[in-house]
Formats: sequence, structure tokens, C-alpha cells
Amino acid sequence: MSKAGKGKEITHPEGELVTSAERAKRQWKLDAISTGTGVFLALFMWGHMFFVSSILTGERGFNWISDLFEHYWLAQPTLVIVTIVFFVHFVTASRKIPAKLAERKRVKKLGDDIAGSEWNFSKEDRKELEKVRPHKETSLWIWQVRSGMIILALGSVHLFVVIADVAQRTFNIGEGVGINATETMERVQGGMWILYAILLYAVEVHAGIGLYRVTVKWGLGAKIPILGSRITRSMAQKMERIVLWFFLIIGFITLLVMAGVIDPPLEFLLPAESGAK
Amino acid sequence: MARQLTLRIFRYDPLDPESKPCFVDYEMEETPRLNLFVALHRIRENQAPDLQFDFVCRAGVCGSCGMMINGRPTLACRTLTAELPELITLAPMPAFKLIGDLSVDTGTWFRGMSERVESWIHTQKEFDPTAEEERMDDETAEKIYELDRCIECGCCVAGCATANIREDFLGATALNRIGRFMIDPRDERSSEDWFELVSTDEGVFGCMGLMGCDDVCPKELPLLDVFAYMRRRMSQVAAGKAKPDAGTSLPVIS
Repeated sequence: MSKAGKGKEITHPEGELVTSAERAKRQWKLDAISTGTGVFLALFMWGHMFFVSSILTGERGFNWISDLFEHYWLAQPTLVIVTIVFFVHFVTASRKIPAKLAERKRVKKLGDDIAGSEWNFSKEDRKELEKVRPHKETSLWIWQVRSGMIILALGSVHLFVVIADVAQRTFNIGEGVGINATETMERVQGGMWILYAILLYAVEVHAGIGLYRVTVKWGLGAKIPILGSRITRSMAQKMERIVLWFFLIIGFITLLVMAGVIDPPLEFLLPAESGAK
Repeated sequence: MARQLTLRIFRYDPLDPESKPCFVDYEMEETPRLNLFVALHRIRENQAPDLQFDFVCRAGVCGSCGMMINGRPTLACRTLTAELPELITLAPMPAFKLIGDLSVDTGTWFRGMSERVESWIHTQKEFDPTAEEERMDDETAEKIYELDRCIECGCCVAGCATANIREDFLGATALNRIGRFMIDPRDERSSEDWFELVSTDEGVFGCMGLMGCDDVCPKELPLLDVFAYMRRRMSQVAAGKAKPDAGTSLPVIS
């Protein structure tokens, strides 16, 4: 960084010689990729939720959308891209997880301690303190790691199933019906609801915390366009909570419809017989 | 009736081969407005004359008395026993070299940090003692002052998970110091110069974002704002679009 030390060569852990500027650029790139892929996946999940919740209008609505996506070759490239981004995000984001168990325990212990749980504040004071210093960040981070691991496992299964569905239709293998409501609902009712319920919860928690942390890490103090006010931590926290609950509620209603527990509540939106296949 | 307090204090003298690290309980009666500074002095006067701990100012300015109070790094002089339960556990701050008992060597750490970030104004200008001092606009001066309020107590380092598990991590106080020089118009180091130091896993991109530093800082410095500003500025450098910027998105104290 100093004039004297500028451009000095250092040995990279992999054994090659790089300048400290190159090394810094590499580490910036890895962090930027993990952030960028994370934001991309979170935004994708919002879109995903929006389209899957088309089941709320009944099977016809769901099939119309999935048919549209597969027919016009929107689903296929999206699947390939999302699958790649999914694993790139895992590889780059997991760099932040301490490798040793002792280190992870230290992180947890420190988080528990600085939460001030042993401090003897009066109820009012504690409330006041939590307002100023919300001490949930460490546990939120730990849950982000845990939910990430769950998503890695269950998300891979889900990706495999969807890729198989789409590939069958695209390449005319087997029945080749692609993504469709009847088969999806049969799958959910046949026991896969457990996987989807856990996956849904894990994804919403992971994406919610992730977006919150990205906002705090990169956005604090930045001016919001149009509104003109600056981003604060409490603002990011509020946003996270609203987004989390919004998608959790829609997600679980969608899952209940798919499991056949409740009827599609928005069926009236579609005209009676038009577009039936 | 006054509470009977138990101060469970970490005792260990690294220079004494006989000494083994342990916690020792000291009992005392709580008096009104008792703070830990006074409590520790009472113990040293009446119960343990060899108890080691650091104090200078007693007013939260010198940053000497940082310690883990019931697990949380904070200043002992600013902590009233009334805020704590009857059992108060005191331990030295992690991440620093232990001198003995509650006393840690923050000095060597901060000296090393200052050398690493070259914590002085870098300029090619010849100093002219007779010339009038260069003017700085109020807003920039206030921003620099805000970040300069750091008292080097080390609480942010002790409360940082990354610093706790990675010795080479710069830590919040160092990043804050860098932020201070980044926005100082007198410092001629360019964004590219900073990039090599800041944009690494030892710098701002090693931060896990647990926000412990911000939550325990006794001076309530806007640490997270400084880091966000740095991440954005370093990304501009990486994208080859760095512009001179005196921390426009940093908060101004009012």
C-alpha cells in the first residue's frame, strides 16, 4: 500500500507469485461474486415464488405459466443458469465459514456473550438497549449458515427433479409432460411436502438474512434514489422482516394448496372455461 | 438492603511459573452508584493486593480499562454494578497479549496496527512552518473528527468473531483508522494505494458481517457506515472507476 511496498510480490497459498494488488483484486472478486450471486438468487426466488404461487388461481393458471415458459424456451436456460449460480454461490459464500469446529464454537460463544443475556437490566432498560443495539446478528449469521447447508442438500434434490421434468419434455423422453400441476401436486401429496416445507422456510430465512446483511455491508449511508434518505441498519432490519413474512406466508399458502389441504383461493380470477387444456 | 456481589475474576500471571489460569471469587457489598473501577480498587486494597488491571482516566476517555464483563467487551469505568447481576465475571480481552489477570497489552497491538496502516498523513508537500494552515471545509473536518474519536480500547477487536479466530485480520479499529485517512484531503494516498491493504481477506472483505464491533463500541463510532463506504469505494477501484471522494456517504455528527 505504501509507495515502498507497492506492487511487491508475495507468494499465494497456491504457490504462485502474485503482486499484492493482484491478490487484493482476487479477494475483492470472490467477495463480490458471493454477494452478487446471492442477490441474484434471492431475486430469482422472489420471481420463482410469484410464478409457483400461480397455483393459487388453480391448476389451469399454473399449467398455463409452466407451459409458456417451456414452450418459449425460457425455463431451460434459466434452469442451467440458476443451477450454476447456485453452486458458485455455495463455493464463494462458504469461504466465510470458519473451517475448524473450535473456531465456530468461538463465534457462537462470543455471540451469546455479547448479546448481554447475563446483564441485569430492568425490563424497560433492556427494551431500550435492544432498540439501540439489536444483538441478534451473530445468531442470524449462524442461522444463515445452517439454512444454507439445508438449501444445499434439499435444493439440489429439487433442482434435480425440476431438471428431470423439463428435460423429459424438451427432449421427448418418457411421458414428457414437463412441469405441470397434477404431477407436482401428486408429488407434494405423496410426501414431498416435507422437503418443500423445510426448503421453503430455509430459503426465505437465508435470503432474508442475506439481503439484510448485504444491505448493511454495502449499502449503509448510501442515498436511496427518489426518497433521498440514507440507508440505516434499522431500516434494513424492518425491510428484512416485511419481506421475510410476506414470502413465508405466500409460500406456505401455496404449499397448502399443492398439498390439497385448501382450495385455490384465487380461482375466481380466471375465466370459467377459457384456456382449458 | 445492599446486594452482596461476587466478582469472579480471571487470575493468571504469565511470568510466574507457579501460576495457573483460574477464576477467583471476591465478595463485596454493593454501595450506591458503584462502578467496576471502584469495585476493582476495593478488591486490590482489601483482598488481593497483586490483582492486575489497567486504569487511567476513570471517565471513558483513555481506553485502558477494556475487559470482558460477563462476556461482553466494554469499559469497566463506565459500567455500574447496578447494571449487572450479583455474579459478575471479569476476564481479560481476547485477541491481545495477556500481561496478567485483567491487564492486556493493547499498546503493542495498536502500534503494530498503526504501522500496518501507516497511520500518518502521506504527503509529498514540503512543510512550511511559516505558512498559514491549509483550510478544510467543516463537513470533512467533522467527519474526520467523528472517526478520530476512537480511544483505542480494543473492545471492537475483542468483540469481533473474525479477529478472534484470525490473527492477521485488521479489525474494526484499523479499518476505521483507514477510513479516517481515506477522507482526509491532505493524505495523498490514492484509492489504488488503499486497495492493496483494504480489499483483502485481512481487510474489509474478511469481515463476516456479524456487527459485533459496532454493537460493543463504547464510543458508538459509525463503524458499519465506514465499512460500507469502503466496500463501495474499493469496488469502484476494482472496476477501474475510482473517483476522488471525501466520504460523502459517511455520517456527519450533529
